[in-house]
Amino acid sequence: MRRSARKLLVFAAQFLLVFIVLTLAWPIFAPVYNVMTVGLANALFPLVEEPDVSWLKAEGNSVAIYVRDLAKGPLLFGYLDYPHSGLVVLLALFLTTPGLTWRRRFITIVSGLGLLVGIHAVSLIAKTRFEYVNAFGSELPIPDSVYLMYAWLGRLLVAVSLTAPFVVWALMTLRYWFPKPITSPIAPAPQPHKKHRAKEARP
Amino acid sequence: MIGLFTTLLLVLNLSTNFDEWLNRATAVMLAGALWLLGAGGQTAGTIVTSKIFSAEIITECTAIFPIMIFLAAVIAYPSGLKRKLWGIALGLPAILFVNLIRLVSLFYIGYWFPSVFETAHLLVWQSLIIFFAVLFWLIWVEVFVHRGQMQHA
Repeated sequence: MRRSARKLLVFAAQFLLVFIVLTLAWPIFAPVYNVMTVGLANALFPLVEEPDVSWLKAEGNSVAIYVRDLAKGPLLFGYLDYPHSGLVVLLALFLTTPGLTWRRRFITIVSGLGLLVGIHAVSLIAKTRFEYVNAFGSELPIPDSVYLMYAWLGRLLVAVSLTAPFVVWALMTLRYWFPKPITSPIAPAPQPHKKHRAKEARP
Repeated sequence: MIGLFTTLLLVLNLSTNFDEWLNRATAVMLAGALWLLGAGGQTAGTIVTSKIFSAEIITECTAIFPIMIFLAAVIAYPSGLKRKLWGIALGLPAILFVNLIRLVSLFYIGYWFPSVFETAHLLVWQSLIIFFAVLFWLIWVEVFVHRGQMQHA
């Protein structure tokens, strides 16, 4: 279904309304979501760290980074504030996308949230690693090119975390905005009967 | 589109002067808007001071991320050069304007409701500015690409 600009503006208004309501409810559901993503990130840390020294703890809207120290126990390294800001926007987008049946909407919300949990867990790991680079990078003899690459990756990480909910939403609902044009060949019209054709041919 | 976006990011990162210039330009625009609103905005490099609030403008405060998303989407979407140029000519000022509203509103939120400043800054506006970039792109597709194709058909 093709959307007119007016319908897009209606969608925008509905989105803003739902977005505000969900933002007000954010303190209720954000800690639960935070626990989920932090749990997944902690499970994934051994894949990128050998030995896995990082340990994350969900604290309300923030994530505390702890570093395991054999002698002193876990040491608080820092905090990541509002790491899951894309959650509200994704829910608001799915809830207000026009043209979705409620069944389809429920399926996209569940699968979209599953995808976003994975993206947020991976981005938590990356952000934690970048916290280490920011803290110790200037003390290490890193070549300019490597530092530049880190800076670029850092900026890319910001861009990914900002755009992730929109990419997930677009992947799952774009065909409702821009449906595929009908490409199947038009069925040939039924040929008139021989008798009829003979009649038609008569002057 | 993702390739185009990451390339744009790399170019931005390599040209750090552009980064600095953009931060200063955003600071000047913000100070001008605050001055117009009677809040007495002033700049010192990338730092904006006013009667109500002060802040340093960094790359994330500028409209560079939503602009890059919008540009990448317009360039990647199948349409003619003229339509793309119309989209860029109208979309970029629109995004810059929304970003200015965002920054000015954050200054006033920081003054009137300092306790919710972080929420408004990190939770609300960072998502909304990207939403507006996507919305402007959808409007461009509908008004300039689809409607134009229907008129030509």
